[in-house]
Amino acid sequence: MIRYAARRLLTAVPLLLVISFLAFLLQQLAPVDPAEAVLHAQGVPQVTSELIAQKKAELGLDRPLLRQYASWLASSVQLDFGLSYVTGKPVWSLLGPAFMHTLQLTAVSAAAIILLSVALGVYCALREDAWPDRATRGAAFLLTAMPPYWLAAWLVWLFSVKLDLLPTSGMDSAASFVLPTAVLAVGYAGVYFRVIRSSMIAGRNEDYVLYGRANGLTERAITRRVLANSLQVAVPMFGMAVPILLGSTVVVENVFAWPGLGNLSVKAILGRDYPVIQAFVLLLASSFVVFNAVSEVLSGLLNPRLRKDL
Amino acid sequence: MKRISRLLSDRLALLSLAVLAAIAAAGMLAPWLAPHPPDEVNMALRYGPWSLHYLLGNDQLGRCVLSRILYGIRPSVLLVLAAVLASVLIGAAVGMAAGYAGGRTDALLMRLCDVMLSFPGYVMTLAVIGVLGVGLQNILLAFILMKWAWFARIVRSSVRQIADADYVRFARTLGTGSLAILFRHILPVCVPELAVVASSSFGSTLLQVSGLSFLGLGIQAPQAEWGMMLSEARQSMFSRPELMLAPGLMIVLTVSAVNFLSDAMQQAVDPQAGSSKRHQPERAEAALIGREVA
Amino acid sequence: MDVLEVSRLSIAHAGSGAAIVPELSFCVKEKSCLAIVGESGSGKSIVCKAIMRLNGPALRQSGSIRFKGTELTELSDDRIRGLRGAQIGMILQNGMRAFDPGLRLGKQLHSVLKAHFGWSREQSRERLSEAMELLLLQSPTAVLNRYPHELSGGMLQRLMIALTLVLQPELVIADEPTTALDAASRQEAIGQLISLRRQAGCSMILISHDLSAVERIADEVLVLRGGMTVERGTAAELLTSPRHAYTRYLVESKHALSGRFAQALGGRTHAER
Repeated sequence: MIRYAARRLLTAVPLLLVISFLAFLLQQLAPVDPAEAVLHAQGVPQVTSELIAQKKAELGLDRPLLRQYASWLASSVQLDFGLSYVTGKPVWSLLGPAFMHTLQLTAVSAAAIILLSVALGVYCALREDAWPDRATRGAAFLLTAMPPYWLAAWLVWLFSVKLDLLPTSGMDSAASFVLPTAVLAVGYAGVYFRVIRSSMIAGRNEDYVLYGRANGLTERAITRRVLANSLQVAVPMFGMAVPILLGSTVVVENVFAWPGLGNLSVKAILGRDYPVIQAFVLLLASSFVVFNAVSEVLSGLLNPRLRKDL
Repeated sequence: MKRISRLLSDRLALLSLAVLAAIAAAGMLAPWLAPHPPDEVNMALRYGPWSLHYLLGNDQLGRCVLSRILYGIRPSVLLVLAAVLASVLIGAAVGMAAGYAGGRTDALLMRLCDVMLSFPGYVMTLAVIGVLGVGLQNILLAFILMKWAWFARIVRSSVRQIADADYVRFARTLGTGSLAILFRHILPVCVPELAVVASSSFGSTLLQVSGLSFLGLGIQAPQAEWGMMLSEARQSMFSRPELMLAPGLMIVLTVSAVNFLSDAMQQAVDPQAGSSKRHQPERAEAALIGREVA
Repeated sequence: MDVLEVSRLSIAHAGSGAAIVPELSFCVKEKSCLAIVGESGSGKSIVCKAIMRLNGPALRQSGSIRFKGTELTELSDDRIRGLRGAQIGMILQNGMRAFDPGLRLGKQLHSVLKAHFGWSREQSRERLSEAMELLLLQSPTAVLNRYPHELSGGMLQRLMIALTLVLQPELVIADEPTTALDAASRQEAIGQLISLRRQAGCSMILISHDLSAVERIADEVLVLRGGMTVERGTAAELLTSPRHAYTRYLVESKHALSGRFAQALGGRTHAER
């Protein structure tokens, strides 16, 4: 088991290297001279070509590409992503806190998504094709066809303005988590619960269910086993939900003025703050790869059959 | 053929298709259908209610909402459709090249696809926009860059399956050119699966494009686009929530129709997806999840 | 008294009302083995599942089913559940799919035994090991520790029979026990079923289209087609001198097939022997 985990995690490394190289190249593709940009950001009044050349040497931008990549990679691993073109301050001082805020929202939302998906999936599977099942599927269909910011806007209008129950924006209290989490949960659970549902439906038609019943096991015991086996299909799916969430909270953060990565990345793009964009890309792409590997390992843990393959 | 007839016999699918066709046509004919120019500002008519002249009222700058919606079909729906088609074509080309060539070319191209697919979609989009700047064309470019790999994969595996089949070998011995073989024998096999995946990514792409425009990263004012109209409507959300109705409902309608069509296509291609009778409905469902969440 | 008495059993689709089994009556005598024979789709499995109310809500059944004098159709769901396994047992066709893929076999079997007898894990393990050894399953403790996918179909089938031995039901329904096995394992499986009958002293319903198995185990045979009885009688009568054309067709197809096989093995004279 440990060997399987180690090997799976190791295969992620080359992919991480390729991704980091691509992220590094982003800066090269940007139509802005990094040295010049940093000088402007630091508020230097007169940017002359000598100053630019000096800054270039200081930032090591005159070395061959691969060496730049190597040192960039080395410092990135230590969370030193350079200086922002807009504020002149270290990127991590902006990215770090934003990352934490988004991580919190992501964690809470992921929990809500998993709970909601499983609950709805089981509920609908046990009532296959009965009206509660159809109604749920219909509602989910409509809700996931809505742009999330539209849904968010209506929820804010209803709960914050009309009913004055929840805060409209910001990340001040536990209550401020409610609406953003609701929007994210509805969007994702609306899609994920169907996988749980069909997995359970398939499971209930398996021979081992018949055999269990024929041997006198209770329906509850059987449903529990079917659920346990069904969740295995869901583990990689839920595993990937976290990094996907990390990257796509952009819109929700905007609507709710959440001080997280989403907002930061939009500001960086509008302000052409390349180091921040680069760090953002690297961070998210890496977490994607890592989570992918981790969730595969978890799947192997839960489903003994998968372990044989590696 | 059987599959197309199966698809067409599903009345809801037919309805969705009709709705989408109507929307597309309206978008293409916008200059003739729209009652007013979409960017005609008239401050006297700000927040005007529904009236005979202005069927859907006026927005915060007095512009005709209906006209803006009609013109907005072009970037919101038609251009997105074009982008999806472009990525299908590019993906298919790459997939066919890889599958047919085999060997190292195949391995290299598939590795490339793997790397592209391992980048989370949103991140790649933001990266591309970050480098190239804001604007609708950059968003669409980002989407094409993101999605082609998926289609390439599908086409390539179909090609690998078929390329060694006997009837293809026969065709080759008869002297049929490679290109003809590709088009006549191999492509028809891929089309169903491509159609299903393309239609489901159309839906999610629609939502994502409007989302990015909402954030100001897509189409720029004063051009009309549904996501951007919602962004503008949001300013006056607390006093005039009704401005959010028209563009939002249009998005919901369009995306619902696309999703319906996509599900129907999935059913036509694989009639037992998602039902009790199938052995592994969860796999088909998981493919439906390919309709990513916005 | 007959162990099982089925009178005018009708099974139909709940939705459309289309009949699958129009009206079937048969009985199983004490300590005897009734074989239900017929092609796929003749309704054999559905009839046997109906005895223990194992058909889902998509099927509707009516008629009387008396087990040792008790009318099963009048029992509550709880009481039927108590019967299942302990009084009326079942052996499925495909051993590989009969077990929960996510649990170790010992754990699964123990949960059944615990539900019926309240045994501890040690007790279950002991009794199961005894039964497994009787069925020539080597190193029972190791086997019980495995997952289903780690064993062969034949071994899993023996495990099913072992569980049945431990449960000691009065009536065992074996649904196509030999169909999923290769020729060699088939003979073994039939031997194990005969062994089971002897050890447990139970009555049996054997569902099969494998007439060689029927020949060896069954006392009486019921031929089904489209949910209706075609012919009924003792195994000896039916297999040597079938009266109905359909039965004749079944018997002759089997002979023709095995004749071909024997011929392939050792020439025409060998086959004619």
